[in-house]
Order: sequence, then C-alpha cells, then structure tokens
Amino acid sequence: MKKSKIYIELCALVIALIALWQAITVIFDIPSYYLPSPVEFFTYFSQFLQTGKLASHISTTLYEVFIGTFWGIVVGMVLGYFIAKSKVLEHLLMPLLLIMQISPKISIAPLFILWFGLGLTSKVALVILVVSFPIMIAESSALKKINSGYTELMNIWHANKWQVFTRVELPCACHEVISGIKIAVTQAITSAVIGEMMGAKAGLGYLLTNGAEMYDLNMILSSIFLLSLLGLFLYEICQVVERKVLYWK
Amino acid sequence: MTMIEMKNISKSFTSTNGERIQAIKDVSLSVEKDEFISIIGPSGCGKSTLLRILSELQEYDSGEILFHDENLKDNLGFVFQDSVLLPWKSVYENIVMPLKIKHMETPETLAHVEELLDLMNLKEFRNSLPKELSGGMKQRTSIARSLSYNPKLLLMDEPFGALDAMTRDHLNLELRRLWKQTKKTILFVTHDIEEAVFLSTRVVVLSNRPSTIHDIVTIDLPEERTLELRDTPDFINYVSRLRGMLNEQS
Amino acid sequence: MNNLKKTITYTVISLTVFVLVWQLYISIFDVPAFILPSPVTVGKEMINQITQVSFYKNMLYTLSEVLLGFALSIVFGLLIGYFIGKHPHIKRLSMPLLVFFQVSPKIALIPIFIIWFGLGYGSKLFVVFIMSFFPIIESILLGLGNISKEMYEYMKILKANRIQILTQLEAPCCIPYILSSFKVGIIQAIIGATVAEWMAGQLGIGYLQSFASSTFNSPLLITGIAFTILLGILLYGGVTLLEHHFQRYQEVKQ
Repeated sequence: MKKSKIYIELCALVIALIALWQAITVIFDIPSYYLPSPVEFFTYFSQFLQTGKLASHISTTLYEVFIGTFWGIVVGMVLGYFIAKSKVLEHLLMPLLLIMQISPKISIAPLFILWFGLGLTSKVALVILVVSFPIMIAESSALKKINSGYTELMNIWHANKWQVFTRVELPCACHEVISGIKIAVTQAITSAVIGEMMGAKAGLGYLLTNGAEMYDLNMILSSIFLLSLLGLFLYEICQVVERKVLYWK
Repeated sequence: MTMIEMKNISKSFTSTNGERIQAIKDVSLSVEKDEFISIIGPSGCGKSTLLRILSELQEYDSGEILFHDENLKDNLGFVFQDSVLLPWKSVYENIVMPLKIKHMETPETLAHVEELLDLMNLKEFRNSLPKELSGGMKQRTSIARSLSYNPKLLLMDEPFGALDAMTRDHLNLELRRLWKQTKKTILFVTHDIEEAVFLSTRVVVLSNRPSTIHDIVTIDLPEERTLELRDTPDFINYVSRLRGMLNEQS
Repeated sequence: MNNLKKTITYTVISLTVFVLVWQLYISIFDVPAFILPSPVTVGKEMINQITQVSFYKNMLYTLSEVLLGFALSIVFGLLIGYFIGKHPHIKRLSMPLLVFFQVSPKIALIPIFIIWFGLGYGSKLFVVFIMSFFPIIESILLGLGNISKEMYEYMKILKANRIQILTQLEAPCCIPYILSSFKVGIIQAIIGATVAEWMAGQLGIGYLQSFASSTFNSPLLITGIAFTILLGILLYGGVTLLEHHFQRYQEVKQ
C-alpha cells in the first residue's frame, strides 16, 4: 500500500469528518456553547493564537511535560539500576513500586499541589513520578535478565562498573527500557494535564477547567486540539528514537 | 475406482503489479482409490495450487472436477507445511477439534482418535501443549488431526518441508505405514524427489509455469518400503529419471 | 504459596518502613500538619471515615461508575473492534484515527462531557467509557491480526461456520490481548472517574478528595488517595485473577 495513497485517504477522511461536523451544527441548530461549528472554532483558534496568550499556555504545558519526562527518565534509570544491584533495596522497594505502578498515580496530584503550590513545580513533580515508575521497573527487570555470559566476559577483561554499565548493561536493557519509556511518555501528557486541571494558573489543562467554568467550548476545543497534536508529536518522536536505537533488532 | 477426475483445470493469478500469471493450464488427472500420488515440479509451479483448488481453498478458472461422491469433497483431510495447531489446546484436544466442529463426537469416533494416537506414537503426549513439542511431533499431531474424521482422501502440502532430514525420514516411514494400514488415498506435494519416489505409487511431474502435466511416472517398487530401499538401483533409477525431467524444465 | 507468603511479608515490611520514614520525616523537619499530617492522624481519619455511611456511599458511587462504564466499553469495544478487524478496508481507514485517539490525552474530554451530559452520573460514566474503550479496540485488532492465514484456511477445510470460527479460533486468540487491555483500561477508568468527580459533582471518592483539598483537610485527602489506590489494586487484582483463569490462552502470544 503506497504511503501517498494512505495520506490521501486520511486527508479525505478528515475533511469528510469536518464537513459532517459542520453539517450537524447547522442542521440541528446547535448553540455554540454546546458545540461550535468548525468555522467558528477555527476563527476563534486563530485569533487566540495571535494574541500570544495561547502561546504561553502551550509553553507552560510543554515545559512541564518535557522537563518532567527528562528527569523522570533519569530518576527511573538511576533508581532502576540501584534496585537491580542491591538485593536489600529490591526487596524493600519492589513491593511498594509495584503497588504504585498499578495504582492510579494521578491520585497523588492533589498532594503535590498542596506541597509544591499551583505553579509549574507540582506538575513537573507529577510527571516525574508517573514517568519514572515504568522505566524503573523495566530497567531493573531487564538488568536482572542479562545473559551472565556477558558479565563474565566483562569480569575477565577487568572492566570497571561504569564500563560494564555502558557497554553491556545499557544496550541489553535498551529494548525493555524503551518500551517502558513509550508507556511512560504517553502518560506524561495526561499527568501534566490532570495536574493543571486540579490546580494551576496556566497551561493547556488550566484552559480546560477555565473553559469549563465559562462554558467556553472554543477554549476547551483549542486545548484538546493542541494536546492531541502534542500527543501525536511525542508518539512520533518515540517511534523515531526506537527505530534509531534498536536498529539491530 | 476413480475418486477424483480433474479435467483441463486452469488457474491464473493477478500479481501485485497487475500482471496476469498463468499458474496452471489444462491439467487433467484422475486419482484412483488407495493411490499415493506425489506431485513434484520446479518451485513456483502450481503444485500447491492444485491441492488448494481440490480442497476449495482456491477457485479455478476453467475445467471441471468430478468427485466420486459429494461426501468426499466435504470431508477431505489437509495437512499444511506449518502444523497450524491451536496453541492453547493439548495434542488430544487439537486432534478432537475437527470432530467438535463437524458435530461428530461419538464414542466410535473418539475410540478412533485413540487408535490414531497409538498409530502416530502420540499416546504419551496427549496432554502436552504444542509449545512443548518438537517440529516432528507437531506434524504428527497435525496428521492425526486430519484423519480424526476418517476422510477417504488426504491432501498434504509439503508437510515435512520444514523438518530436518532425520525426522523427515522417520515420518516418511510412518506415513507409508499409516497409508497401508488405514487405506487412505493420498495426494502429496513435495519438492523432495527421493521422498516422492519413496512414498508413492505414482509421481506426477509438473512443468514450469504455466504448469501442465509433464509426465506421470508409475513407481513400481515393492510394497514394503524401508529406508535401505533408497540405495537400490531401481530406486536410484527412478530418482534420476525424475531429476532429469525436472532439470529439463530449468 | 510460599511465594505469596514471601511477597506479603516483604510488602508488610516495606509499608512499615515507609510509615516509619514518614513519621521520622515530619518529626525531624517539623512539618506543619496541614502540609503533611502524621501517620497516626491519617490513620485516625481513615478509621473515622470507614465508620461513616457517607464514605461507603461515595465509594460505591465511584465503584459503580467505573464498573458500569467499563462494562459498556467492553461491550461496544468488542463489537466495534471485531467489526473493524474483520473488514480490512474499514480497518485501514480507521487505523490512523484510532492511533490519534490513543495518543491524545482523553482526559481532556472531561470538561466537554460535563457540559454535554451535566454534572451528574452520566458525564462520569461517559468519561470512564471513553478512557477504557480504545485500548479494548486496539487489543482485538492486535489479536485478530495475529491469526495466521493457515489457521483460517484450516477452519475452511473443516467447513466451520462463522460462529465456530469466532468461538473456536478468533475468540481464544484474542483473549490474552483483551485481558491485557483490561488491565490498562481499568486503571484508566479509575483515573477518569476520579478526575471527573473532582471537576464536578457531589459524590464519589474524587469529590471527597476535591472537598478535602479545598478545606485543607490533609488527613482526609490522604485517606481519599489511599482508598483510590486500594480500589485500583483490587480491580487490577480482579483482572489478573481473570487472566490466570484463562492462562492457557496466553500461549497465543508467540
């Protein structure tokens, strides 16, 4: 199936859906606080974009997501490493980690807002929390599974801990860790948004609650539109990184 | 007694870039009861296609196929190259599955399944899952499964193609023994000439695409076939004759 | 059994250590009570809560939202997923849409649903539905896509009818994927329900936390969080048990 054909079909589908949307709002004479027509929405959106206010909301959420994801990955990998290496830590932390992993970590959001305030910090902390867990668990489980043959070789060559990590452990753990990262990243945006919905002064999630309070569906839709784009963008980045790093699979 | 009469069967395909490829053209073959017919030919010719047409997995463009009775058509056995066992069912459950589908589970048929398990040396593995089985055992299960509803005709599409030589030899012996004991009519597609000569009463040689029947060789070898037979001059003669025919094609 | 004992022992030990560290932290750093109350205070609040009827009302409200919404998403997810999976043209067209819906934070739809369906039960139900719906569809498409051509051909040889193909081949092949998606879906459902309740409404565990938060009642907030986590673990555990029941079908995931 040619790629260009798929794109054409996709564009046609999107256009058809937008046309359907327009038709529905017109035929059923739907009030714009309930569902604005596409025309109305895009006019609003471009105006909003031009005022520059939208840009600051976008950058707030982007900051939270990217900084949070970055540090989440770092924390996840560091802790994952230590958990794999220390039996004590593993027995102590693993049960808690697994409980936290399966529970809705978002529940902590109100606490973070209480502790870190309405600003960016609480959301970044939330994203770090959400992102670090899958990575921590993926890495510690991957490290433990590494073929002992590799580690024995390393021993024979008197490699130090850092060398063992970078040359054997990291590459072998890569596959599982990257899967963990993909899972974590998809949740990063959701976490940032939820954090903003629960208490914030800016950001795309904040726009959602603001729009809800004022029954301004245009504002809500703008936020949803941008968040979806962000989600798509992050997903594509992950795909590209995965392909580049795991070229040998 | 003629079981199947194929008259002037032709089949063409449209390839991915729109070309029309004539796979088989004007193939006529009659299959008698109790025969073991192997179909060999250069790769890419319609060996498998013929089998799939017979089993209605594929349609044909022209010609006709006459079955001796309707029941034959709806109840034939098929063994693929891949054993296609259901991974969550045990050996026994896999073999019994066709009976479930055909609503044929009776004390008689289940007793027959027990016989098949014995025949195919699967008794100890009846509760094993496919993942615990070797390639050879999986194919044995597949064969037993294809016989569970007692079809008169068995179609086999390169069933041993993915197995190692030793396993293949063992299974060839078992298949030959099975054939003689159960008195099935078997149509067997293979690319292995020796296998074809070892197992068959007749060997059909297909030509290159568009495949027609290049020749049909009757294998006049003793009923009892052992692996040592393969070193006898008669056997070797057949093999080189057939190889010669195949080499002409390329 | 031995393994289970071990796990439980370690879990109890870690939780105890966790509580001790917590107590130590607030003692050493003299943390104000409304920022982080002591374990004892929280414990007292928990006991206080579980002796009140209103608490159970809230828990049941949320639980019913989650279960009902999840059940709806299972029914529609399975039906629509199967339909899409069996029709290659439709599948090709809907794949990009499905991917798009999967990567966008569906949680953002909550305000819209509140505007459309009101502040009550209905909007929460819809949120739960949307959150768990898409993983289920994805799982069926994955499961069906994994079935080899030869399997279908073999069913054709046996002259199996549509229903037999569904029950004997397609359903067993999809089960492990569907159950995996349940694990993801049920947690998403809880998240959706709690956040939706936080945004609007007068009942539910999410509402309880929102109320606690706005009244700076930290012990209550932490209690709410703890019970939400407990709910998540219980439901997740339920699905895992289900998975064990269908352990045999895991073989499909080669």
